[in-house]
Amino acid sequence: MTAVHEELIVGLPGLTLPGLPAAPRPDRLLVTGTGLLAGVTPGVRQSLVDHRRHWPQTPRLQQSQLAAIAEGVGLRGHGGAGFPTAIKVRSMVGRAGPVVVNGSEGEQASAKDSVLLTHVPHLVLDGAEAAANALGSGKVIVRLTVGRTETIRAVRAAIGERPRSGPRIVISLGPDEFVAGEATAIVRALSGGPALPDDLGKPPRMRQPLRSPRPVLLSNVETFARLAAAVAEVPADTVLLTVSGAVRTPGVMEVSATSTVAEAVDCAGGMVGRPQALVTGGWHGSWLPMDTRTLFARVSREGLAAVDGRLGAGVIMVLPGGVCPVDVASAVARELAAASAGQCGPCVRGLPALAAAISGAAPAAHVESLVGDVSGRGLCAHPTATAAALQSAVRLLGAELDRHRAGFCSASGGSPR
Amino acid sequence: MSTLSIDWKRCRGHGVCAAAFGERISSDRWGYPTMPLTIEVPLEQEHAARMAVATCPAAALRLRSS
Repeated sequence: MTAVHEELIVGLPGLTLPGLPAAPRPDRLLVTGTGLLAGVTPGVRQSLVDHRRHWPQTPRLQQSQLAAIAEGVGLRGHGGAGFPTAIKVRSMVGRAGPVVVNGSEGEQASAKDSVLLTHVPHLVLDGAEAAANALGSGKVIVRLTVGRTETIRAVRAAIGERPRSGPRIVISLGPDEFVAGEATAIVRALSGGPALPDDLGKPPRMRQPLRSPRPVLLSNVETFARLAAAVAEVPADTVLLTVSGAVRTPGVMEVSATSTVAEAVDCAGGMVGRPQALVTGGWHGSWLPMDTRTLFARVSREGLAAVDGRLGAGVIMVLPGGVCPVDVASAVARELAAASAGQCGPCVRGLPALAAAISGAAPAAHVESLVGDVSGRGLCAHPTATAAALQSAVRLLGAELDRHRAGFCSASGGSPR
Repeated sequence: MSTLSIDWKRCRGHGVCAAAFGERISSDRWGYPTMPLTIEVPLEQEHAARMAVATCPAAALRLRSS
C-alpha cells in the first residue's frame, strides 16, 4: 500500500458525476477574520452578551442617513447580483412592509450565510433592525431554508435573546430549491404565492397582503451584517469566501479584500492534485484557467472582475484535475436546467438545449447562439446567469471541446464518455 | 406612447405576436417572442401592438397607455 492518503476524494458541492460523489455544503468555518467574524470561535454561536462586547447597540437612524452610510462604504448586495444597497434603501417609499433577511442560500457551493447565522446572528439582526427602524417597519422576516436545522436553531436562539423593544423578528422557511432564494420568489412566497420568481422589477418590490401593497427591503444575510458594521463605523474591508472542490479543507473564511485567490486556496489547506480550472462566484459564476493571472487576482469584487471572474456569492471552487472538465460543465448545465422554475419558455427550452450542446461538444457557434437566445429573457436572472456561466466554461474549454468532437478526451486518454 | 408588456408565465411560444407586430417582435427558434419584459410603443405602431395583444392565444400580452 503506497500513498493512499494522497487519494483524497474531492467532490464538488451540489454536483454528482460518475466516479465523483457530490460534496456536502462546505459550511465549516476555517478562518475568522478581523471584520464580521472578529472574536468568533469556529462552531460557537455568539450570544447577545458576547456580541455586545464587540458591537455597540445600533443607533436609530433616518432612512436618508442609513442610505448615506451604505453609500459611504460602497455597500452592495452579497447574494450574487451586487445591487447597490443605498439605492435599495432610497427606493422604499410610503408605508414600509417587512425587512427581509435572505438566508436561503440556494447556491450549494456557498455556505457563508449559514456560517454568519450560526456564528454572529446578532450582527445580522442588528443590520436588519437598523434598516427596519430607519424605514419605520415593525417587522423583520428571516427567510431560511427548510432542513438546515443548525441555522434555524441558531437564529431562533438569537431572536429569543433580543430585547422586546425592537421590531418583531420572525423566521420564515422556504423550500430547498435553487431559484426559491431569488428575491422576487421570496416576496411572492411571503405574499401567499408559490416560491417562484415573479415580474416585480427592480426594488422597491412589493409584498401584497390584501389590497395594500407595501415595499419590501430584501437583502442577503451578509449584506445586513455589513450594514450593521457600517452603522457601527467598524471598518470591515474583508471578503467572505466559501472555498471548495479540490482543496484539502473546504470551508468558509473571512479574508482581507487584498488577499489573492492563491492565498484563499492556501487557507483551505491548498490544492489537491493538479487542478486545471476554477469556478468563481458559484455555479452561476465564471470559469477561469488555473494560471498565475487567476491565482494572483485579488478576491475582491473588482479584483475578480479584472480577470473576468465574479465574486458573486463569494464562491471559489477548484475543479479536480483528474475529472474531465467537459463532463463537469455538462453536469453543471444539467443541474442548472433542472433548477429552472419552469415558468418561462426560453429558460425551459433553452437551458436543456445548452446542456445537450455542451455534453455533445457542439460547435462553439451553436452554443453562442443558444446563449444569445436565453440571455436577458424570462422573469428572473436564472437563464441569463446560467448562460453566462456556461459561456465562460465553453470559452475556457474550447480546445478540449474540439478534441471531444474529434472523439478524444484528455482526462480519460480515450474516447469521451 | 404605450407600453407593451409580456407575462412570461402565460407565454407558450405560439409566435402569433411576431406575425402581428413584426416591426418590434420576432420569434426565437422555439417561437417565443424576442422582446424585453416591456417595450415602449409609439403612436404609429399602436395598431399593430393592439393586434398582437388581441390575437395572442395565451393572453400573455398587455398594452397600457403611458
